[in-house]
Amino acid sequence: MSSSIVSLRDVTKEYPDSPQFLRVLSGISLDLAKGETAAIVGPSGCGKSTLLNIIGTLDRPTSGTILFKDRDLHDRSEADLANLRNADIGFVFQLHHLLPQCSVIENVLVPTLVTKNADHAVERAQRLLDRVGLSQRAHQLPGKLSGGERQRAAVVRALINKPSLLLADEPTGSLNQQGAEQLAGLLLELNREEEMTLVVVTHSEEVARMMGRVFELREGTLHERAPQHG
Amino acid sequence: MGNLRLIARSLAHYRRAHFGLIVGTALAAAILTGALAVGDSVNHTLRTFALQRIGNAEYAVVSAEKLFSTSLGAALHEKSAAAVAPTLVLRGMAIFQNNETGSRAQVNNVQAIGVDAEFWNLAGAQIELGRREVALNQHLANSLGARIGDTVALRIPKPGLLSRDAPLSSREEESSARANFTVKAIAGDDQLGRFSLVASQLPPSNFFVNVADLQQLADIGDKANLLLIDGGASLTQLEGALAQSWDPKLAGMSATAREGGITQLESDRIFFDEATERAALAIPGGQGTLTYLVNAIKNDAHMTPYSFMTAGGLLTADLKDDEIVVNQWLSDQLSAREGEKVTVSYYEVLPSNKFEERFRDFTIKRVVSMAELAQERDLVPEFPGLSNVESCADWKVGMPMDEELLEDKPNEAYWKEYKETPKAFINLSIGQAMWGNRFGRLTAVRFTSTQPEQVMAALAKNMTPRDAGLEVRAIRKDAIAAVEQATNLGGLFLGLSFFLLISALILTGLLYAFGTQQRAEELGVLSAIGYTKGRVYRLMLGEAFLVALPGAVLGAAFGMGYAWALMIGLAHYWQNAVGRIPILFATQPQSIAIGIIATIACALIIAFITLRRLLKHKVSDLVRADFTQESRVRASGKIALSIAVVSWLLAVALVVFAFVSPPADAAGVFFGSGALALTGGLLIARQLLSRNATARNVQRPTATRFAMLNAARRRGRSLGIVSSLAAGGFLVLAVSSMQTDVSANADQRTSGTGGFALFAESTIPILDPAELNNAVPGITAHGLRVLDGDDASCLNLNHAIRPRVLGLNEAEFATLGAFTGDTDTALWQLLDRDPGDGTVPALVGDSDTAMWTLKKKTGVENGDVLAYRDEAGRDVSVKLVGKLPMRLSVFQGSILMSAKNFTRLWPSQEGFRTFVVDTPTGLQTEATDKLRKAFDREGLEVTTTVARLEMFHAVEGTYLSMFLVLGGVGLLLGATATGVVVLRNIIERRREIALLRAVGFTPRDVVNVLASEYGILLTLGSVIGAVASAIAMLPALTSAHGGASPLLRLGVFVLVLASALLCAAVALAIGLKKTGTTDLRAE
Repeated sequence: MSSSIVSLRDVTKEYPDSPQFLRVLSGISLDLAKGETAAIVGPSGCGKSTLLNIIGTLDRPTSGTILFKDRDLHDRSEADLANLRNADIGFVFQLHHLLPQCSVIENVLVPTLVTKNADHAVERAQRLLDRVGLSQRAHQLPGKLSGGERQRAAVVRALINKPSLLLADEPTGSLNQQGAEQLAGLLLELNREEEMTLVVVTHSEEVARMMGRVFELREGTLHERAPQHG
Repeated sequence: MGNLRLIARSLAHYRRAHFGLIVGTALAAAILTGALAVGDSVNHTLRTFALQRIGNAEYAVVSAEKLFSTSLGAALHEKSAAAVAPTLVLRGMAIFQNNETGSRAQVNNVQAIGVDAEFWNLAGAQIELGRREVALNQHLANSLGARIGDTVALRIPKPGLLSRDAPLSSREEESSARANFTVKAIAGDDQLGRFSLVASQLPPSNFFVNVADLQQLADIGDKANLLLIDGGASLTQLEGALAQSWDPKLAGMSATAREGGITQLESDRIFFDEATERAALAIPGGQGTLTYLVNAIKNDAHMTPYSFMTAGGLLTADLKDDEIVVNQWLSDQLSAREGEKVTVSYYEVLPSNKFEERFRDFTIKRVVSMAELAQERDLVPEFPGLSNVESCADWKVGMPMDEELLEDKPNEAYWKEYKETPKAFINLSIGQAMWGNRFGRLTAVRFTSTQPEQVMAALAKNMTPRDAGLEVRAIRKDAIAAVEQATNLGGLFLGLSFFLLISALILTGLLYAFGTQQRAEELGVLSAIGYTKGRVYRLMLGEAFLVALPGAVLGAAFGMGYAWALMIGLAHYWQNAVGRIPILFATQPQSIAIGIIATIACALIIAFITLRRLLKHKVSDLVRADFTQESRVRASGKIALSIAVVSWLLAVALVVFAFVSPPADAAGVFFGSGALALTGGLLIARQLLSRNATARNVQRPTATRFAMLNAARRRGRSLGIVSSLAAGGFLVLAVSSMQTDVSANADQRTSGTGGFALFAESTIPILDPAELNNAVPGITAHGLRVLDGDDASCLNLNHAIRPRVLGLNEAEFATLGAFTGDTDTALWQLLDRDPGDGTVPALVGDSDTAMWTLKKKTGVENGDVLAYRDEAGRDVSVKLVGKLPMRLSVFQGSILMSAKNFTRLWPSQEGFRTFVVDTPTGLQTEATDKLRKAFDREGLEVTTTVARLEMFHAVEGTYLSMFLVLGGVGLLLGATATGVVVLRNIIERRREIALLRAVGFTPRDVVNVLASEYGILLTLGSVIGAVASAIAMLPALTSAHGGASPLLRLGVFVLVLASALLCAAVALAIGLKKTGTTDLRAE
């Protein structure tokens, strides 16, 4: 048994219905081990988010195999994939997507609504919010929070069910540089504390350099950069 | 790029959104135009019927109960060159004994119309009637079941020259006459089959016969009471020609030379009416006399019964008021000499037709020999039933007489020798004070030196046709006016379609608002690049106009379909709403134009309001186009909650009050109670949403809590969904149930029945209501006199110009507390009070008549005045000093006047034709049957007062049913609007939904969340609406006399709820299809 959390084998993604036949991903293979951190970079529109969505089971590949903890996700039902996401995958997006009608803590607890066993969810939510410095903001509406605070709340929401894999799609895209670095640092700290695998899609070289591995997506293919030392 | 090009681009780009707008606008236009088209059609039908009922006649000379010679018609034709049809119209009954089936049909209140060829010329179609032949109109033929060739009988009241109410009139005489006629033809609507001068859409029952036949049957010689005239002359010319043609002889006046060179002027109606008296006494040398039959002349020792006395004349010139001249026979009979006292007893006839005996003392001034009285004998007018009989015992006179005294031997001997020679003479003024009555104060005017021809010529000069009660009336103009001022049926149908229209406009508004919100960014950009607000408005409103225009035009075309559907409903289910007449489809171009313009105007107003709300935001907000963030409300709900609690407490209190002490308008009270419950419910719903929005919760949210949070997010929209279902359902169900139970408290004097059990109407007048009491022991009948007029009840769609007048004994009704209760009899007393401004006081039959059909104010100070003409041709202002307090009474459609005033104004309206009857408990049915049988010849129709109220109420019930059905359709449209709101919400929340999917919600979980959310809102709306409606509907639900059936109401409610659920479900399905993970991207 391998130690990979997620493995992609020969994954392609095509959009045959688009005006011009479009192949966004072409034979992508990737292995990410438990606790690893990775960044996916590349120019706009190259398919980074598509790749992240495929990894996160939000989208299905045209061909190829995806193994999550050695389980082949091919032919899994939508409900199975939803359960998988709920239990094992956390998402952070460029926009926080916090529900404006719910307070911060309620937002954090939204994923637990469909979790079978969420006995200690509230305590965990409070602990995580405290961890990210939002314990005083727990009962406020997202509208009252700054951009950085909203993103931190979104991160806590992503972690509430102790996922094995945290996927972040341009999490710092709407933050200034200082905020971006703080959030990236937080993600890395949480990666260590929670022992989860972290994949970040980013345009920011600074954020990418903070990750253990960096992949560049060019013309549908994935190229891993050599690790930089020092 | 100019504005037009920008608009054109926008129209093309947003064509899908605009399509929805076009549909919404088209719906509104269709409803508006369709409702107006039905109004047009009903108006067209009324106008058609109105013109059909008068044919080619433009004018009519009508006479107030007085007959005139048909030769007046010929004279008028000669003087005016207009075609004139002398016509005799009498009320009667038609009876058909079907020998084939053995059945017998009797139709009361038939118009027996005596006509000649000229009448059919006015109809534009000749129906040649031979003697004893009849043309029935279709309505009467159908009612009788008679066909051409059948024999039908006609019974009419014999009009008589002297009213049977008049003193000395012969009441024993046969009051009606009957004859058989062979049905020659059925007169169609285009053959004046609908002939009537009464403004009503309902077909009369017409029995056309040869005028000579009817005159013969009525025993009135060559008399008529109506001249129908074509348009060959103007009104002024006709009035001039009538004045020239007028001759007092035509009205029964005659002057004859008598013994001693005296010319005596007499009326074939015995008594001179006021105008004739005035004209006759204005002739130089005229001396009025009044001859009367007194009960007795007596002194302390002796008495002679039943004697003629004359007031005025040559023998009385020097008499003081208390002096009397007696003849020798009387002097001998009483052993009374000059200077001695005698007492005269006589009857005075009261407005109730009861006789009251009065007494007056006189001192004998002189005794005259019988020889001197030969001339006086000749001057006594001929009283029908009194004169020309062999014996006093043969007298047939209406006043009560003592049979024994009638056979008084000396008196009998006097009669044999001297006949009606007066036994005594008194001063004219005293005689008039004693015996003057509503029919007149003179029985003759004598002239000593004027020839009869001169007298008649002078009388003709002094009298106008109007004095004789003749009036030229522009009947075509009246008919058109009655239609044009009729109930605004376009407005009515628009009102009934109100919910439908509002729903369509709300839908249009929602579609426009959502479409515009989508373009907030565009508006922001336009503002940012320098477009002024005015320019943005012009641009967007121009675009809205170009979208609304085709929608409205298309809708106007569809409106004809809506009109068609409504007309099918009116023809088959809602006939009462249009007076049970078949509607002829016709629409006016202006109605279509109004429909189009009004819809476009509504669409532009909606667009303007939406834009105004949107453009209130800062440009920076508009550019970001993010209006989905609604801050949570502060917990300011204490006041709202208090109002809700108070509303509910008041609602409960009202219900308890209504059950403990049932009010007159129970439906109104329960509606108010339901409205309070609705208000309370909606406030609680608001609080529920607000509390969920503000509640702090450290617990893991449950699915319900999450659904409530979501519902509370867009509180305005959520409350909109709750309110539209609750308030819409409540209004449609509660308003449609607002029918008062007319049977409730029907035995109470304060109810619309007046506490009377039966209501009866006769075709032939009954002289004394006591006749009914005699026929059915134990009942008490109260009679009302009737002046026929326009029916001002809700059954008549035409405007009532001269409503029917009922004359009653107000003291009798006050004593009973009828309609007012024991404590508030002041209303009845108003009828006996002189308003002091020359008007005659009257009450309106009920408040609905005053408010809706007459549209008149009532009040002692500021009551409106109705114009009538009395029998003497004088204009009479009838002031509506009040109205019976209830919405609906058995007197709906009529105005009520004191019998005293009634008989003063229209003395010839003899007897009573309307009755309200008290019966012992449980004897209603028996009394009804007995009365019908006893007064079959009078055509007495008897019904329970409750049934009469229900007949009127059926109209309201029909409107309410229409409102329920059309409102229900409106609510279905409202359900579509709910679907639009749901769809819009989901589209706005697609990122939220995508996030839920991302964090592990399965598609089913998402559906559950959304379904719970909208389920909560729809449940809240339906529960609040159902509870409030149930409270409002309590009277209807517990009554057997409600309008639309409870099942229909339940069906509408369930259908509406199901539609709302279905629309929400469809919207969910469509909305969820449009969401996906791409929505999570920032772009």
